[in-house]
Amino acid sequence: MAPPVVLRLENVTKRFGLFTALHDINLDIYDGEFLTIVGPSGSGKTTMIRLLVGMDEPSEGLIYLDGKVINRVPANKRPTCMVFQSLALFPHRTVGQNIEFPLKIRGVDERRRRARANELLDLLHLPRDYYGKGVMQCSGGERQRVALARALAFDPEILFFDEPLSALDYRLRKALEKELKQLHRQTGKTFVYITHSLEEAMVMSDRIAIMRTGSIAQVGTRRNLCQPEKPLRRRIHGRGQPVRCRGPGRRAVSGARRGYVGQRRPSRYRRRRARHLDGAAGIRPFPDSRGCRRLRSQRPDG
Amino acid sequence: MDRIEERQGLLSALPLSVLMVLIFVAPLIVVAVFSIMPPRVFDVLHMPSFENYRIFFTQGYYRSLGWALGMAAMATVTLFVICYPLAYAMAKIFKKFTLIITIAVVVTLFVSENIRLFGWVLTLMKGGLISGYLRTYAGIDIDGWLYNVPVIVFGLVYVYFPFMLFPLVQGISMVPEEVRQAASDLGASRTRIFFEIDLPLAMPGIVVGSLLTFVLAAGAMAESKLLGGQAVIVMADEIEAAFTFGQNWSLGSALAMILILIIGSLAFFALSRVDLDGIMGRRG
Ligand SMILES: Nc1ncnc2c1ncn2[C@@H]1O[C@H](COP(=O)(O)OP(=O)(O)OP(=O)(O)O)[C@@H](O)[C@H]1O
Ligand SMILES: [Mg+2]
Repeated sequence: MAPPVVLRLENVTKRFGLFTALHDINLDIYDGEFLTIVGPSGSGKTTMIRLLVGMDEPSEGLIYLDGKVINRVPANKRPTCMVFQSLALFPHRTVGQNIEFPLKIRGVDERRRRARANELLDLLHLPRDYYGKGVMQCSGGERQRVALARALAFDPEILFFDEPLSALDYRLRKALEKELKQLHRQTGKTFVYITHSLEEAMVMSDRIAIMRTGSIAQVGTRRNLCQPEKPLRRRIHGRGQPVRCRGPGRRAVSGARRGYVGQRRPSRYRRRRARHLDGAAGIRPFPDSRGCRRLRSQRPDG
Repeated sequence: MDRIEERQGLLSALPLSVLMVLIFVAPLIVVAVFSIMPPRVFDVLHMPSFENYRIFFTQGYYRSLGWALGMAAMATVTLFVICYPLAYAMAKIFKKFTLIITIAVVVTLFVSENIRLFGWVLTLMKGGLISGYLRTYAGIDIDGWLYNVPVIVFGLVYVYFPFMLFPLVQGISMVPEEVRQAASDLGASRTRIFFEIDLPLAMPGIVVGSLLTFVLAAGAMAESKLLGGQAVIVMADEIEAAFTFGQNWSLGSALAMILILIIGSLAFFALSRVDLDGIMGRRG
């Protein structure tokens, strides 16, 4: 039995002037799932979740939360929270004040706020003495973690992440991906996660929605998403290998270690052909594995 | 290498520095020296005395200072309340309309302040524009609104409007829209956003605007002369009178020094607390 739908988009269209950023979107988001939205730059991912958290109103269509239409409910009245692509931290505040902000709004007393902030600092591997540090003095990656902590402090029913890990180094990113996944399991909340990286999507999510130029090209679980349209996948993935997936079995995993995600490593012929096709399409190949072993192991994504 | 560049920098700054000293610092020093001369002397070859500063307290000049600062403060507060919503709209809501408002406000500056104030005198005086119409069409006889303190404050508000408006627009447009949205997303109401986000982030603009209006209004005298008549006498008026009718340069200097010190320390205090680089757009 499928879990209940928490958020439903019904024929949602969003226009900015004459430009249609989202075209007739239909999407159900289930309670407690981890949904990842993947798509090339400018495909309308941010626009869509801005509608869902209440920062914009759709031009057409309806958004349901728990069966009620919430088109006109403002952001501060929705049980949703978003981690911005730009992070949108409060630059005049310290790390601690940023994290405590939603608690302060709710009128939580100072001691409990402080305790919670410390918990979150620990959770996100920020040193506790960052509590009094100005956010503008933090590095990009530290800021991203502060933004995550702030959203977690708000403790919403549905959490939206707009590429929250893009400025982190590979290792920390993997660690935080794991943390997020774990957090999702622990809290049982609904997570909606935007990323460019199909690899990240494959690793983390229950379901994946692929967007393309304002509409949803495909939605599905990791498994039944195994035949995405090639040109799209190539755009996201940066390489042109055809995907052939039989679930994350042993061979797929060993493929993933070589940079092929959720798939076995293609044959030598196919790899050469893909490179040839990529070259024809103007896609620069990533340095080949030969002589680049170390580089590849540190490569952020596929 | 650094040192050579530094020296070249100092060298090229030298002419301008000399000019600044001559134009700004030297007159201030002259005024300061004059202020500690005995009253009614026209050279500085006397024993210093603080008689003038005593006169400030004994002959009621402090009242003029009080009026000047009080009315400037009232004008500043009024202007802030009026300008904030307009500045907010100009920075965040109006698009092309902002330019029209900007031009309209700037165009008023093309006409001299005194002429614009005379316009208000003609409008507000007894038998002037408003009272004339009221008498003719409504049969009400009124005395006009001139020659009191509120009308002077009105004049200050009118004249210094642009000096508050534009810094505020600049300050408010420095508040990133996404930061406000994030606050709203985290549950903050509009009032909370105003106090927690808008006000602190727009502070450089607010401080600069308030300081400009306050300093200019505290040194203004056209409003109190034209619109206020002799209702109250402000400090700038007293200084002018001391230098001209009174022929008492040293008293005038002392009064000027007091005004300069008060306003200067206020400006220093206020500006030291805001990030001017921010409002100049020099921050990354
Ligand atoms: N306020 C706006 N006014 C006009 N056009 C907009 C606005 N916001 C977004 N768009 C347009 O809508 C399209 C989708 O933008 P969106 O930010 O949703 O892309 P995205 O999928 O999040 O891309 P990225 O991965 O680069 O963040 C873009 O072409 C963008 O130019
Ligand atoms: Mg985006």
